[in-house]
Amino acid sequence: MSIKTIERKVLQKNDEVANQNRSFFDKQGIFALNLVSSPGSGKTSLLEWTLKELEGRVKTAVVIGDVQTSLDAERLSSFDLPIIQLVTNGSCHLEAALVKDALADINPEETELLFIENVGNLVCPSSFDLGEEMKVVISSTVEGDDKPLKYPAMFRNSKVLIINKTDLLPYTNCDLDQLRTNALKINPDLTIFETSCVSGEGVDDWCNWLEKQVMEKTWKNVSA
Amino acid sequence: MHELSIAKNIIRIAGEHLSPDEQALLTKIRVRIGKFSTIVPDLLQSGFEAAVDGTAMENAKLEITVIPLRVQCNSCGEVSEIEPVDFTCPVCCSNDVDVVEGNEIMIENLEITEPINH
Ligand SMILES: Nc1nc2c(ncn2[C@@H]2O[C@H](COP(=O)(O)OP(=O)(O)OP(=O)(O)O)[C@@H](O)[C@H]2O)c(=O)[nH]1
Ligand SMILES: [Mg+2]
Ligand SMILES: [Zn+2]
Repeated sequence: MSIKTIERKVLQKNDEVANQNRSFFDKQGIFALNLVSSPGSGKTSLLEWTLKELEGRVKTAVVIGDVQTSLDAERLSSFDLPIIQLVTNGSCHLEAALVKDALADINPEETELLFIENVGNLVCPSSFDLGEEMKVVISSTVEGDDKPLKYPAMFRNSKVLIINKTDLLPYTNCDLDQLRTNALKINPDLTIFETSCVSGEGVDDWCNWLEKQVMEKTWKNVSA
Repeated sequence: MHELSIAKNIIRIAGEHLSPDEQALLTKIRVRIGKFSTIVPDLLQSGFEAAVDGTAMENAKLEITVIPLRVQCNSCGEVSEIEPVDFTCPVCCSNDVDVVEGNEIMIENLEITEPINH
């Protein structure tokens, strides 16, 4: 019997491509966000509001991952910006190589902010680095207040939590304070926003914060 | 849910490290899976069995060691095992902690039986 030592990460290949994406973003001064949530929490809806709010303020491009359809990309097609649809063909998450392919379709000179809408899933996308600056996790009020405890890896690995569907609070048993407390127990560094993609309430706070982050990245790039 | 894709990656990496002869003699693949890695060991085990079936390495078994979640506290410096529902240092109650172990999805080594000569 002989033993061959390997000692390497199973996802090392993905991590290597993710690092290539990250260098690309850094070199081009692109702020890349990986948008994650359960199916239907409102990733595409929040994108619709955010793109409208940031129109003329930040040069934006969008990559949308979907298991099968291009419906989400069609919803955003009225915006005059690059919308790139990725179909994962059944896979429950985006991988770095798919995103890398998509980057060939954006003009880095014309991009300051890149949204990557991941496949609706609170588990798998947390293992796959895409090279993003940060993950933004959306949890909607109709999902209750215990999602952070049930899916801690996603909340721990995100920088921002957006609590969406606040307009539906009166119809749910979701306790906002409890949701915040649970999320901060998993990750005390989370920046938290509350939004409704029906009324648009809270979208401005999120967008102002985001614009500031993008500017800091772009300036760092100019001065570097 | 992505255990099958992890299993396929494990098989690919093992294949890259072995000659065709060695692949047929592979008996064990040892992996370390962190408790905080989102991988469910049972699902990885069945995913592996499904994926390895019919390949040159189909006699190989997957041996999974589960690594607990450990954090190091930035206030008191202690390393403690915690459950992934509350990232607080059990020693001093600070929430300024870093995960030091429990995230890993690592392939450790491969066990090969000696070829039978003569
Ligand atoms: N009441 C209410 N409904 C919302 C809100 N945000 C989204 N929705 C609705 O929730 C449903 C799902 O929203 P999407 O934006 O498609 O969610 P998603 O996260 O992109 O979904 P997947 O891409 O399929 O994972 C749609 O019917 C939206 O109209 C909100 O703030 N309030
Ligand atoms: Mg969507
Ligand atoms: Zn401590």
